[in-house]
Amino acid sequence: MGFPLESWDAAFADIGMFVGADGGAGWYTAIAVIMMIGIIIAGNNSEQEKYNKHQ
Amino acid sequence: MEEQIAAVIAQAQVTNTFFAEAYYFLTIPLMLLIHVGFLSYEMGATRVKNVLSSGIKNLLAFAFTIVTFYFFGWWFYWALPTGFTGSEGYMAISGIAYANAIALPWGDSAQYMGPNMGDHASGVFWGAFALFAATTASIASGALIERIQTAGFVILAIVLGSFAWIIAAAWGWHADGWLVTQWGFHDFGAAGCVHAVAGFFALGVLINLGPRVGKFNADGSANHIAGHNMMATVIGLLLIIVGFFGFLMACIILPGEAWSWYGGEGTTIYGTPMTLSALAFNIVLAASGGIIGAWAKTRDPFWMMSGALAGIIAVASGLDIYFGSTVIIIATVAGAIIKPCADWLEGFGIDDAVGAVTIHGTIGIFGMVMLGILASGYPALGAFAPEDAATISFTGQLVSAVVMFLAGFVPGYLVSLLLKSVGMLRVPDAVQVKGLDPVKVPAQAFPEGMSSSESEA
Repeated sequence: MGFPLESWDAAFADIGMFVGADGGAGWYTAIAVIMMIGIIIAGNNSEQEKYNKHQ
Repeated sequence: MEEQIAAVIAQAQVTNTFFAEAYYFLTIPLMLLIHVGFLSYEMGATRVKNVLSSGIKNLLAFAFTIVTFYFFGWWFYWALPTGFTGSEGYMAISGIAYANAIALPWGDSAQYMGPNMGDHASGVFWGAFALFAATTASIASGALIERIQTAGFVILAIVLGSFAWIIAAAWGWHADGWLVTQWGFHDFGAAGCVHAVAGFFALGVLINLGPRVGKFNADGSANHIAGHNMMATVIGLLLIIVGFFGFLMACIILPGEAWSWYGGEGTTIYGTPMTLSALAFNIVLAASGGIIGAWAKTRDPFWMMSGALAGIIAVASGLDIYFGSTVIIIATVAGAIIKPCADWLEGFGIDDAVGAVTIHGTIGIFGMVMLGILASGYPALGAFAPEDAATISFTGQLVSAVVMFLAGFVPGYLVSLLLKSVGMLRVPDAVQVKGLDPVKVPAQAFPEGMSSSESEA
């Protein structure tokens, strides 16, 4: 987190200037992946409950 | 003087770079219209009791495909053009090592997957491809309406949009793709790697999913299940055509950039020369031919607009090199044969609610093979190609068409079989009869009904 560069001038090299560019990108990706998997699982559980009421 | 010339050249390069970035950026909202169209098309083709469920399914297909294409779909495109070995190809823009360097959202590669002032290309190219991916999921979505479970469908959409089609694209829609270099495969507008893959993926799923309750009678004869709003369906189909302009614009490699094939000429993704003017002729002629062909056969507005799609898909492989009158002939034939082809498929007990297997799959195959017949001998790659590079041929297009069929059908069939075995594929028949919306959607599509009040004026 925080500003990953020495200054804005450094941003004009071919380098990431996003929040997390200094090593956090992978962590953000990992959290996003876990969120998506969790949402699909929760969504499926909710869906099955609704179907079961009509079986 | 030399300094002034250098300054002018540098400024021209800045302008070219921003033009290229803006060009691809604008293809993305245009391609989003494909999804607006599919949403309207699919919801219109659904009965009132299921209309919101169809909309939710379509929206989630878009969203999860985009997200997973960021996580791993983009990597497949760059990693596997030469095959599952992941070796580097002749152009040195492929292979696992190359993909690891530019297409993963973690590690050093992440600098090309987010804001980077030195990279005006990765994001817009990724965005265009992500929309291609979402298009494949939308194509399959319509075929499966009114009886597929939502979470199960999301998993299928991810497999199709972030795995199956992009593997096919790596093989046949990349200058290092083995179908291109070894078989001379040419598929400018993705009749194969987008349309045929998505169409036959849907077929694989349909076999395991089964038909909607009430679609077939005990004697095997089929009933027509009408959607609730033909107008929404037809307008949706026309919006898909609008979106196709963005889709096909994005299939061009602009000149003058470090990643361009040439300094002064536009090319296809294979580095073969082409112009936007070629597309202007051929897209509108193809859509028109398809409408006319379908009208001649059916007189039905649903099939007429489906004919427009079929017309474009039938010539998509060669939109860059076909002559306009040739396009009219192929597209008209495509428009005329879609209804008989869809009826033939229905005869096997397949309930494809919107004709997606026929329009995208069968016509995609038809288009790839037609190019092999008509354009045999054209070089498959640009001037940079190795001397032994293959040329376009009937055999090469036919072999590639079979590969595209398998790239869609096999994962569609296997993953849907797995989902079926764990009870995540088909909505129970009792719920289908009651309606999916009242069971699982906390909203009503038409809370006040469809009739308007009598005027007092």
